[in-house]
Amino acid sequence: MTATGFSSGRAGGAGRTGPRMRGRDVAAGWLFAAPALIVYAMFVLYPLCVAVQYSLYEWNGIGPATWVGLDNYKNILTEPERLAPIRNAFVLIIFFTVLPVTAGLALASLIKVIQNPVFASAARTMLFLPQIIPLVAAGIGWSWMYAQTGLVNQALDVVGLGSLTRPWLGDFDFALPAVGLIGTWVLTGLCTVLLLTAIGKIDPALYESVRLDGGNWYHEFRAVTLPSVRKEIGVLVTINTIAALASFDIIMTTTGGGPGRETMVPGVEIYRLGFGEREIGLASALGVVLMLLVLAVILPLHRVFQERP
Amino acid sequence: MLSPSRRRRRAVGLSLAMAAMSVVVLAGCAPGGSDPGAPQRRSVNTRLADEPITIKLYTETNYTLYEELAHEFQRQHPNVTFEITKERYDVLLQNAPRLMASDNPPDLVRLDVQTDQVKDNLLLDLDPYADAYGWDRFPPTQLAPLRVSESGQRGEGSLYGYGINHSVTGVYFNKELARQIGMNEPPATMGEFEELLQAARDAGLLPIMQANAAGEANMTYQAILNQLLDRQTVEDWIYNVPGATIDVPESVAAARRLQEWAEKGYLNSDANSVDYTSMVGRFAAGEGLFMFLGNWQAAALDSEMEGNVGFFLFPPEDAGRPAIAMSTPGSLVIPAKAENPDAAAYFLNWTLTNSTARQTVADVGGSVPGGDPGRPLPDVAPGSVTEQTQEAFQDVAEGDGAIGFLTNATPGMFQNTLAPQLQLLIGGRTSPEEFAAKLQADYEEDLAS
Repeated sequence: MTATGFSSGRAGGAGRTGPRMRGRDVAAGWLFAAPALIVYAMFVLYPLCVAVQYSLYEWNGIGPATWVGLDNYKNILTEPERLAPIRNAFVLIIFFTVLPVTAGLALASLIKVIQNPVFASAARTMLFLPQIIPLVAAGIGWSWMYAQTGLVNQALDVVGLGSLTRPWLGDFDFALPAVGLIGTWVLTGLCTVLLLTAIGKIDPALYESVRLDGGNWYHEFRAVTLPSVRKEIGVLVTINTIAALASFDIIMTTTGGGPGRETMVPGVEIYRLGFGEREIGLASALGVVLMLLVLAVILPLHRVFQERP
Repeated sequence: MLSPSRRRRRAVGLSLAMAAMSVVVLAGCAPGGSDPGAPQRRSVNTRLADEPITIKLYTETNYTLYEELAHEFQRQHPNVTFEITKERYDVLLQNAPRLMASDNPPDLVRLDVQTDQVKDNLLLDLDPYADAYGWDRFPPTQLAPLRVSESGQRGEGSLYGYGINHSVTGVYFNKELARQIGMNEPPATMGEFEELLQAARDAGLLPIMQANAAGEANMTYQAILNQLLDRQTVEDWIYNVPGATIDVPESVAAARRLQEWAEKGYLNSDANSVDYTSMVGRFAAGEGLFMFLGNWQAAALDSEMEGNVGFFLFPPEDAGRPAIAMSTPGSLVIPAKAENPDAAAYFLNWTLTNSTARQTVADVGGSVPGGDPGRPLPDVAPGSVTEQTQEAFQDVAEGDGAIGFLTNATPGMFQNTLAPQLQLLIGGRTSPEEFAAKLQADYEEDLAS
């Protein structure tokens, strides 16, 4: 990756040695990397730095800005009202990560067992379908299903659970789980398909040896499947946890953070602070905090899934 | 080869170095513009130029009045072309400041005048045009909401907006359902109104069709508040008069009233998850005796409910007191950096002096045109709900009972305070005392920043 790494790999090679060549290699290396680096600097590093800078000011986006130092961060970390969205984001991890990965694992194992290829591919397609629907459309569709007269309540009525019906997204206790389940619905397909591919690559001989040892399906799952798809699970946990912590679309299109602030998440709060209240500084500070939070959660998870081959 | 961990450390080091570098570069300058001071007064021209001219209008998608007026103006003045950009009003509100600050600002923007925009020198001071065209003859209550003083207080000072149509809020009722519970005329007091609510409930009808997914119940809450709290206190609060407070017993009482209505089942139980469009749709389809809303919906309800809909102003606590209702101008502003301010002002003046334009305000806008009260009023279909909302507007104007919306008190008041707090109030998750205190606390926090 780096210039030194590039040339040190070459050092022992035949013929092309000497400082002149090395210098040219280095230049060529940078040249190849330049387009990507420039784009990365323009669209990732620059906005990031600007956000950090804005977070130190009190600014409405138009007029003169006032330097406030770390006041915006102090506000975020001490106001209970600003901490609640962060708590909600952690609750969403259950629905965006734990449930879809578990369900994906179960479904993938199940589909693997099904011998009928037509049925297996139909199941795969159906499960993956939510993944290709834009989240905004999913949000709107689900808000109809969750309405007082929507499909969810109709279904409850049909099976005799009419006493449980409620306007799910307007209910203070159930709104967060309700929007969380939309995430589960969207993400289960991805988990299933990815894990199915991973399971497909496992050497059948391993399963056979378990069976020869007298193991049942649980032993197969525990001793062969699970360790073999460890890396894939790591990937899914990582991207789904980021999706949970940085969620925006689903919440925005279904509840907008309500009722009250029961489903408020950092993503929606940043948008509201920045565009609604025109508190660019506070919004940027919350953005930076969210980024650090995601890193703080993801890096240890990454380690857990990467180590121990 | 480097070991993975060393390599990672290098990569991290590199990006940190780049980040640090950028911060150093950026630290030199604070974000945002400098304060250029108030722009100078300029001379104005009240003659429309003969050569081809393009007026850029930035307006809202939900309310087509302004673009219809632009089309009509184009018909009458062939050398003028309107370039119209449309956005949902809440989106427009967010984008307008940046657009007006840009190098290519519109000439006219559909915008309620806000202190921030005046402070940031985004709006053109319309006083020279007001002098030239004689807008100072308009009723003072029409102009007050569009004025901002140099110290940043609304309600006084220079004129920054031009009100074409005027909203008035009250209660729509379903005539058929009203007949079922024996309501022959609109209630004269709040007590009578509550009796009707109970009568509807007893008859198995939904008394009030209410949306509150985005805080729509602010109209219901303020309708009650307007009758309990004196007008000046509410207005001072909306206009950010120093020391203004809404954390008073009357607003607690108003909150308690609304919460009781919810507890007694006067509102649909799913109010917190119903949005504006669904509320209007369900009311038009016959669900609910009453609906708290404004005249902007009148023309549409006339066509959807065909003679089955009526409108009255929310009644005072004691009979005979003058009607107080939210009634504000729907205004257009001219950005300070607009390219064609003279043509834009000529158009504004035309909207309230040309008879076809005034008729359009009634037909498309469902509203009484503002301006010189001496001018004849447009025709409306007799017996229509539009006619009733126009009468209501006149009643409010005559009694000097027009008041602004609580939602406009600060930029964050609606979305970040009223909407969640009203959801908590209706859902029984906050007390009326906490509700009033929270409104005041957030208000002070918004103003402090």
